[in-house]
Amino acid sequence: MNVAADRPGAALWRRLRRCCSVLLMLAIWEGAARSGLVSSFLLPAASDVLANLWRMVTEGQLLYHTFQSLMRASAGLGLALVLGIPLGLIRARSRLANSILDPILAFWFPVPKVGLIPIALLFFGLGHGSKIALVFVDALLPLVIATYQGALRIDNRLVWSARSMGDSEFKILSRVVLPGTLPQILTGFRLAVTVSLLVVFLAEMVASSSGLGHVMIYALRTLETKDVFSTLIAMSLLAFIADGLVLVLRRRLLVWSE
Amino acid sequence: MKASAVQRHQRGACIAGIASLILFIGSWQIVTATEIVPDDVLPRFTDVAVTWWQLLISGELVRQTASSLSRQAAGFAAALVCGVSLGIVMARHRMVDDLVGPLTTVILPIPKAALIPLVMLWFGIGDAAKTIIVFLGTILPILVSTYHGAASVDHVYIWSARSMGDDERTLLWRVVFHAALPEIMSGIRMGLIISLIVLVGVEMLAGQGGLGWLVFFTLDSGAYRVTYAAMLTIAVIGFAYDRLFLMLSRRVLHWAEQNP
Repeated sequence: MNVAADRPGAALWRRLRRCCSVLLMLAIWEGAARSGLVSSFLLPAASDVLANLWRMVTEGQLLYHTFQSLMRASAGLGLALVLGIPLGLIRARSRLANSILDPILAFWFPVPKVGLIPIALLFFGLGHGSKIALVFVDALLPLVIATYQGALRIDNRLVWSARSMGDSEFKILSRVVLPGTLPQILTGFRLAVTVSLLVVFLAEMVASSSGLGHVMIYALRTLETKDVFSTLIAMSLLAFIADGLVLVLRRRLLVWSE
Repeated sequence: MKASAVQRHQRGACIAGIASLILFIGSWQIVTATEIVPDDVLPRFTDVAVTWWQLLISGELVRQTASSLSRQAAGFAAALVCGVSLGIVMARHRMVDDLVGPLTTVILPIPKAALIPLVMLWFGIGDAAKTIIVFLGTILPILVSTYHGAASVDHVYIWSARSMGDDERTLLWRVVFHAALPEIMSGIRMGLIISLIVLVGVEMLAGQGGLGWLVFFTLDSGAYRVTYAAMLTIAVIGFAYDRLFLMLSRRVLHWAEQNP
């Protein structure tokens, strides 16, 4: 098996074969729907779904809802970044802070925070506030934990040399510990981005009058199957692009490491 | 007799945990008893605790928890079996990898919540739909981490096993599976967390019993004490799952250098 991979052209051939499996799936989907094997209500043909997605985009409605979702997700994510990174750094540098924060984080980390949707609704209402709060809570923990674990691994000699050169504690944190922790922070950030999109869509499905999650659940309730599929594709594309952007950012910021 | 450093550390962590719990409950009780936060937004902790106890005695809480957990357990167990076996086979056979691998790359980034309406459309709102959504939400994290674990197994292990005359099945089970176990366990942890998220989500949307339904139904009818009691139950279940998982992973991975 391994010999074949060394032959010239084998890599190209393999890549072609891998594309085939996705094409095959699309063909089966299209064929099953077109031939009437599966009712087009339950499974609209792939081409119809794409055409429908294009229609939704050009009519402008989808862009508006996408914008709503993205705004909520990025607001919550931004708050989580602003609070989470300092919390993680402080936790790593101060034993007192760690002993206070550790049990709280250990408890909340595995808890499914979508269970908190009712609290968010009671406190912040049906609008943007409740979604931003939920995204914030969900994105905060991965960031704090990743920052903490990264900051623990900082070589103490770096901190000592900075201190011996007379740097203040704040300067040490911002100029030595923070850059050294960046790889782990970005790993946590990647998870936080994925989670925040998931949470914002779910929260919009449960209670909202705008956003992609609302579009999807509205399409389900009015039995517009094509819209359900088109929104699903829009959501997946957004998540895919967001993840790709984080990876690009990571490569940009971490040119110096490894 | 002096306690060892490890014991002292553990005792310290335990005290800090209890202290922060008391602090949390205390501040909850204070802001509600002094009416800083109105009672219809956040009921008093003591009221919620009493409601929780009444729900427990009446059997309602046990019934809803059982129906949630049985859906979660069924979906998760199916995902575990399929994910791990498919992941190992993918890592060992290039044909399967070429067929399934690209599909996982396409499907993996889909936000799992987006599958809920689709599954409701196809399978309705009953137990089957909820079990399927848990299955779909958890199989990919398990599959992908199993694949990575199994694909990076040291070839020397495989060659030695083969040279000692192991057949393919023994090889897969005794060598590849065990060498991939640390990665599999971290996939399982991710899967467990996601399974609770999608389960609570689908129960809120589809109803028909379960803790997510209880939370949302009582929110609609204004019985906020029950809402909070049910939310606390969900939180405790999530926490208990994670503790159980950590205990299990210490058990099965005691030989590995680094636990997840």
